[in-house]
Amino acid sequence: MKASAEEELDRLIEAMNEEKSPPLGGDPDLAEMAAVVRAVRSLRPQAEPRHVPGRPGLRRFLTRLGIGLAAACLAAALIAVPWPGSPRADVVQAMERVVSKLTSYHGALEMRTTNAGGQTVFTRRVELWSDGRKQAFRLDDGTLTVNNGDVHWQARPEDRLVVLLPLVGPGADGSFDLKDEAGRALEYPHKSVGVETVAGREASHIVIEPPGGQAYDLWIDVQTKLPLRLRTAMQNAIQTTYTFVSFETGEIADPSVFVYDRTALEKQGYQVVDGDPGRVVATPREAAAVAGFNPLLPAEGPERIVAFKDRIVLDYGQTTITESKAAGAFDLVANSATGKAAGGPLEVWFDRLRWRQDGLEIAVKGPRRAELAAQVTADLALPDVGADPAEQAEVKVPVDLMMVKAQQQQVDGGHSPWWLDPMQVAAAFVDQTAPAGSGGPGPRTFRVNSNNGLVAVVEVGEGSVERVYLKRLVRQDETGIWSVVGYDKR
Amino acid sequence: MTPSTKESRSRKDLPRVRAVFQDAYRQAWRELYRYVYRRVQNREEAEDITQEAYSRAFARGTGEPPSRWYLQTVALNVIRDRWRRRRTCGQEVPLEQVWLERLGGAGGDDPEGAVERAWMEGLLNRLPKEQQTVIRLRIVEGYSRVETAGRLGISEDAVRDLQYRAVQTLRRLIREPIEEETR
Repeated sequence: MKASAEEELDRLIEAMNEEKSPPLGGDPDLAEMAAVVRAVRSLRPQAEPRHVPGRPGLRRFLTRLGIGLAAACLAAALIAVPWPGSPRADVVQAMERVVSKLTSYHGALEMRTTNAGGQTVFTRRVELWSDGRKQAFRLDDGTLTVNNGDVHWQARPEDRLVVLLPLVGPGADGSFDLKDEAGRALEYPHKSVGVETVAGREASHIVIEPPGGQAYDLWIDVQTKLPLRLRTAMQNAIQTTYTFVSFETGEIADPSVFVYDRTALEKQGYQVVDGDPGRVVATPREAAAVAGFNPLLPAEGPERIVAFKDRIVLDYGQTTITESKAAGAFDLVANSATGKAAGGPLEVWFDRLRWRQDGLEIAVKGPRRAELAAQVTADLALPDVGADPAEQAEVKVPVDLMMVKAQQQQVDGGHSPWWLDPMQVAAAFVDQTAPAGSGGPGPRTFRVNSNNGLVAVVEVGEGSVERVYLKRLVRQDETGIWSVVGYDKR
Repeated sequence: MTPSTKESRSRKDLPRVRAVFQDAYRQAWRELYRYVYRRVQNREEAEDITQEAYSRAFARGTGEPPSRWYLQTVALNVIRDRWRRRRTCGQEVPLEQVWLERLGGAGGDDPEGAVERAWMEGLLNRLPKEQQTVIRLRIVEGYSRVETAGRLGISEDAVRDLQYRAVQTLRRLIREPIEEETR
């Protein structure tokens, strides 16, 4: 049923109040009303930016996590903490051990921002529940998002709206799971700087120093060994602090938060929006009937199969295999590493492997990705991190490490994201170095020949430089920038 | 200086150009963000447009930090492009352009926006008292429909109805000058 003009305007105002893009849908009438609302809104104080412009990718990624920045950043801290062998590693290792044993918890997280002038404002509060595979979180406006393993939904009391979300696979990772995140904790160096009181509790203050990045702070409860507070580095005059103002482990006092009762919700006046949340099927044949193609199956059977109109997800707990019909060109993510699978390229990006095989596009995401991918394709070859093709460079390019570290900090702060793309760094280098009159500036074609995550080789189609060699010198992961270390003349 | 020498120098200068640009960006992005925000009234959109304006300015840069006026012109073009792309039906939305023009072109408007705020206040004052109150609570103060209804002691439907009528009246008031011009 089409909403009345009054209802549409009401939704538009609500969306703009929440700093969301108004739902105009190409309707010029509604666009005119939006223009009027914009004009009226000029009477209110401006909303300050949450992030520096320049990181829309990061912002969308965090938004996709559902509970947004707060939990995602605390999660980032948890990922970043332990560093075997570093002084006082006992505190963070103890935290990792405690968190890995958690089966269920309930907590409330508060987010505050502080500007360079020292003014602090409360931004939002998030309530979290976790019980095994069940996850739920509630924002301070009452919006509740729950994944109980069978149904994944978001209820918005103010709009009386329930939206069913994808159960697994892309779009389903809307959870915040301390256990998962702490389990992955392994990367950056840190040091303990003392014991302080946070939220009325004694906490170890840890300073984390990502290679080439700005240090940030984490506080761990001395008694429970659980994370209490995270404070980001001051980036562009804004610093954000996330604090668990309450945190209880053990049985969830009110497990009804995980119960999805459509009839009861409809009785309360909720409208249920059911897009294509996927449905659990019993067999691959059933999945094929829903999705319209036969999936490729690993030797090991999944815990469950979820079928969508255009894809099938094989769920192995923390690892999922998503298959869909291949369409268009197979474009690799710019900052991914490449291997080989099924006779073609294999994209390695964070904890995901992606390739094409027998007319399907396959993505395996999670800790068991390599093992399960090898069961789908016989000739899986991950990037060879032992190889250093840069040694073959005809001309070595000296690198100023101080400059590279400064550039890494710029990128961490949201500036010049092109440093993360070896092709763009190579293009900038060639434009800068190619001697004039020997095919110098002008349109050229660039192609990433190989990229093992540490060293990349970019082929140049025209001009006096034939090949550019690049390395991730400061940080060897998807957030690390590339530097040119050599090239071959044509 | 021959064109090729000039070109060669600009290539050699790329790191310096980039550094100059980065400095200019760090110092001035917030000002441009505010300029954009006043026009689009959406934080995320303003952040994206600010970034895009800087990217375009850098792509066409001369090696000197882009001027405020130039960045604002680029940002206005980005806003117009975005709004044009939204109009999939091909119909014009004159009020969007009126709003941009009302706020003045690049470099020419007052940074505090006092002129257009006074203009908007004037328009709001022409609404019936009840509609004014609802619009102020709902849009200026940002209260939800439920909260607005609670504060005024009226139903949510009444809030919806009043705000709709108020916006329609404001729409007519803003359009009047355009319609007079086209007559």
